[in-house]
Amino acid sequence: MMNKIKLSVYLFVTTLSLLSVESQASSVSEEVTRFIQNNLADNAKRNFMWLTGDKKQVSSQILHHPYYKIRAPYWQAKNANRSRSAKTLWVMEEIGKEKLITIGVVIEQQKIQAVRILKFRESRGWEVELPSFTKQFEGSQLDDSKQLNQSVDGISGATLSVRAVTNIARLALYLQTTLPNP
Amino acid sequence: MPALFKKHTARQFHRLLAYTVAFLLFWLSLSGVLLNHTEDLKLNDVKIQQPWLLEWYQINTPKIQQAFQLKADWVIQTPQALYWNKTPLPFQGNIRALVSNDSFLFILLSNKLILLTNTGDFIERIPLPEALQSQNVTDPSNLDFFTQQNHVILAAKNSQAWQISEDFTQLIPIQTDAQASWIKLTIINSQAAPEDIQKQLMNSFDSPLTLEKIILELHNGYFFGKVGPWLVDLASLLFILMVLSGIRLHLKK
Repeated sequence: MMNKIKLSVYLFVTTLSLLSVESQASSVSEEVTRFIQNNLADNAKRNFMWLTGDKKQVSSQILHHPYYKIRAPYWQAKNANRSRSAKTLWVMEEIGKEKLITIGVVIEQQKIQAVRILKFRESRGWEVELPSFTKQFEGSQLDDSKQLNQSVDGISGATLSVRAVTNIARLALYLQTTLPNP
Repeated sequence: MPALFKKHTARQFHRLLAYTVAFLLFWLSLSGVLLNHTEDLKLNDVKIQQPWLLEWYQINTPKIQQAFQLKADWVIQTPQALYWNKTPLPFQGNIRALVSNDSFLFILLSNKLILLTNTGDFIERIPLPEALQSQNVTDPSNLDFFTQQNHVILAAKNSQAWQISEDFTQLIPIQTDAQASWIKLTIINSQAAPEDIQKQLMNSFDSPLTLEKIILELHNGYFFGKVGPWLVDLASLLFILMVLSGIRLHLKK
């Protein structure tokens, strides 16, 4: 199957700094585990969404560059109907200015239920971790132009971090729409 | 009357100064004009790639340490980064072993195993178990890669083995009893990279050195280090002396 994947080359040349970034190991970190426990049943199951074909193209448009991995993990309760309307938790990473920010997004009925910053590695822009900022995403949906239908206030001095969190929220909402709908 | 104030001597002195400072004056004027219009001329957007200039500014350029050929593609290791052809990969380290099968590429670093698709897309970073992290075990001569029914297995010479989990997120210890049915994967050796790969890397290098910085530092002298500004000061002094000798000649006409 993988042989059929048509992949374009990453355009990360201007983000060479990313190379020095060590993101979380692939085993689930403590922050992510706690986030899953707080938002889903203990028996949540991890799946992976492969960002190939249209998904890769659209995610590149949303982030303005390809997602740095070819797949994104998401969790659903084991007994959930596994449809796109089921409660789903996405954990993705995006660079703020220089380092990856690990962001958790909970979506249900195509609406954002919660956004949390699970790991902030930048030296500036930490204000995006504040509940007063992340609460703005609650209830947001994706409009036809793949923008959030609710405005998100910027934070002075944290423009790039705000952009990273907003784009990951948009990406999670988009990927949710691509889940199978039995 | 001092010799310098005699008309003939003053003319010779003036001419000598003029020849000396003419080029400097020309350069300072030209660079000054260029710097005044740096935004219009987009001098800051012109990235300098010349190796000797980058070396002069002590900027590390991609120098190939190891290169692995995979059919038409290359995995390149430089001190700063790893590359898939000329595209930087989102991790770095010293490649200890590199193996590929029909679908995937496995890069063994000192403390992690990297999985890429065979088209260079990053899939996962799998942390190595402690037993695999020691220098001896991750040495290519002490470690082999095998495949068995679509599973990839890492086996150390000390009879320890791990299988990559189905979701590619961890290495699971396994027994080596069934080793007879394992098929060994060939470890790809590093080789000399062709010149065009080095050129490609340099072309894709996002140089922090711009034409504006070079012109600015040639203008103020800092291009030549700490002595540079003193040289510019000396040129300015010679220019002042030339003006004074010119005034002297004018007054005595």
